[in-house]
Amino acid sequence: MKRILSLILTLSMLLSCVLLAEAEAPAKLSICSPDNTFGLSTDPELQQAVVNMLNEACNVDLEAVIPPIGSYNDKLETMMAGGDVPDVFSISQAMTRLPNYVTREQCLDLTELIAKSEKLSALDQSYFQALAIDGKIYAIPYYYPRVKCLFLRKDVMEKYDIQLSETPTTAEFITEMSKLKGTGVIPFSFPKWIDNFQYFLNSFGAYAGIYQNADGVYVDGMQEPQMVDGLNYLRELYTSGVMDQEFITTENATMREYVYTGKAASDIDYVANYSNYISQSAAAEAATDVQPIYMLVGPDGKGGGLNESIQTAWCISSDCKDVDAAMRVIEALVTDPAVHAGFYNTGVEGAHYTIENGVAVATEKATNSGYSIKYNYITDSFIPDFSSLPYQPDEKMKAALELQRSIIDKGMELRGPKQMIPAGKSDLYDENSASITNYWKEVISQIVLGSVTVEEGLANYKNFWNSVDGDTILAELNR
Amino acid sequence: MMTAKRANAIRESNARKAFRICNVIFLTLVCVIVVIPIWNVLITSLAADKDVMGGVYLLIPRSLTFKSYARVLNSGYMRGFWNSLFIAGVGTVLAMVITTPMGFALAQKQLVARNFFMKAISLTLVFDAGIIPLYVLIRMLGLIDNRWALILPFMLSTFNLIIVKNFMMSIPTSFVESAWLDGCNDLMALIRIVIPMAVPILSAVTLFYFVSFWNRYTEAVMFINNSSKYTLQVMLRALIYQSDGSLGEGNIVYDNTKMAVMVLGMLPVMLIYPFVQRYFVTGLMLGGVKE
Repeated sequence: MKRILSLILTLSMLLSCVLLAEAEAPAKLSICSPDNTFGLSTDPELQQAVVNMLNEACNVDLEAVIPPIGSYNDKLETMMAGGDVPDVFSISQAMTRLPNYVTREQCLDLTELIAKSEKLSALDQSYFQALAIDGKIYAIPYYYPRVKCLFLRKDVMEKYDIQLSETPTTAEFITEMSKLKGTGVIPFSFPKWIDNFQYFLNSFGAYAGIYQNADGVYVDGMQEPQMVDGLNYLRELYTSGVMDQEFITTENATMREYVYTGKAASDIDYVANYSNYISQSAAAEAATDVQPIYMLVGPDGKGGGLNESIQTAWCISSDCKDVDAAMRVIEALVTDPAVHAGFYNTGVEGAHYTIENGVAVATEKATNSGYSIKYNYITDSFIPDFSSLPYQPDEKMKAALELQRSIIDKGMELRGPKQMIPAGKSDLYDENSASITNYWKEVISQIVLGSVTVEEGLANYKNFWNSVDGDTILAELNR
Repeated sequence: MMTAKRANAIRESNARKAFRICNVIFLTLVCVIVVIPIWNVLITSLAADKDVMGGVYLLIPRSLTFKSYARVLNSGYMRGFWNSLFIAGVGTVLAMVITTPMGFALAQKQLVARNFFMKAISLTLVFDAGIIPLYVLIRMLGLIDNRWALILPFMLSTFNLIIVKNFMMSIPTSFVESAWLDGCNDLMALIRIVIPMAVPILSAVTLFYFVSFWNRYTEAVMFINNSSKYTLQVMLRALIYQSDGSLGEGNIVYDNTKMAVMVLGMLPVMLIYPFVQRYFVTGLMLGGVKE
């Protein structure tokens, strides 16, 4: 009898131990985000260190999928199409992609979960609303809207007596930058991404693409009269020699390097990249400060920085088995200073960096993979205070970041419009939106390069518009 | 003596001379076009950081340092290199083990339903299901995030199979029949008679397979989840894209490091090519012949 009793007791103890262990076992989740996150290193061991940090901070067991950023969307969409939607995933180009994912019921409605979350509900809800669809929130952003301005090297300004304020007129910009012609310095370097031209179109009240005008009516920006002035100005920028004549093949990295090295005087970039110009021009042995030009004021007093709004955000799969755990992960990524900084920029102490006199110093292993300490999180994120972190930027970087903060604020204040057409409002638009965007980009590049005149380009666009039954699209959107 | 030599030489017409000069100029230009990018990659990989900034296209070395190579050899990229080497090595061996007997079998005229098999195989040259059906298949096989997902589905290339089959058809059947008479079975005939005679084509096809496994990118991104299993090509592309992220928040990786990884990526193929080069052209020409 005693033996049976002791056996039962032992078994029940074992069973309770197993149950307890199961109850406390971290939730298993999959997370998918490109390799410009997870501590900004492509080294698998360093990425795993960041995953471990997240596991520990959120009591989860993450299986991380970290595709290269250049193939991120392809990978995510293949996984989704194959029925492998990650539990937590980051989306880029959210304004165009999110509506599709929501239509396919792949994203969980997070509205109530955000309302229940003490930390997330404390954030400015207008940023969440920027990506809302039919009043429901499916994606949680983690940074302020992205705004681009022009950055102009101050040493070049002084040397060639370029007199430009932070909000000069369109005419002043061409006149002053023309002083650089024949000096061997490219006055204005521009990348091959045609949508950046919107910065200049803002000065004329023109908008490339379909948008809702002041009267609340959807119109096609390419066919509005002000577009002609905008396109003529773009063409003038090119023919006057102010804009880099080889812009159509220029990558973002090359454009930036032109300015870092002094090969070009100015370029267009995110306001949050100001500190890069300080550090990288020094690295290129051409140290200088840069002046932001937030907008060019057009003939009618219009203008605005290039507003890319919020394009990257976190979603939870509608098939996620443990939504609470998934929300814990997103909460930590968006609001926890240590997790946010580690995930988006600095990585993990001991793996990515060591702390010397309160300053983070990259480890040799991390440096070998191209990693360097970045402090963008201080100015990019919703988190107001990172003073709890055991490392801080040095005095020079602190000063640059303080200035960057004020540049971001001013950029936000002077940003131009960004429109989002809700999905499901016009089937014809949903089908043709990508080809409409591609076509206006093609027409604008042809006009700027001089392959066609403004009139010819717009006539070609009109033909295309008719071929996709554009008027019906507008009628459906305005219904 | 000299006069006699000149008299014996075949006289070359002016038109022929002009043609030869044009040929030399044209082929030199082609060589230069091919060599310049490789030279640029090599020179840039050996340059100092500040010399590669600003979108420069280096042709004349400005500095000489092995710092970029030291960085790469002590970085996570080496894991990608070993992954690629495993996939390309194992994949090539298995692909040859599959392709050679299959080519031999299809070359036998007495093979039952030979035409049907050939037509079925040739169909795959024309139709490609695309990445999503392949992803679903790999997922159903439980091979997602498994290195074998980059080997098993690509072990047979129809193009390579047809080349091998055509070559084997050109081998006189009497050789194989003699082997049979001497008591060899099909496998022994293949190993002892056909393979030694097919070395040129098999070398060429081996190189084809190796290069295709080595350069495989899309499938490596799609089927592999854990970055520790990524191939060098994936890591190289990640490196190139990282510093050009449209948001500009990625690392700023200089071109010398990128080029050093590229050299690492070119190395195995460049090392293998000289060993199979002498068979390469012969093999391809023979494979193109159909009896």
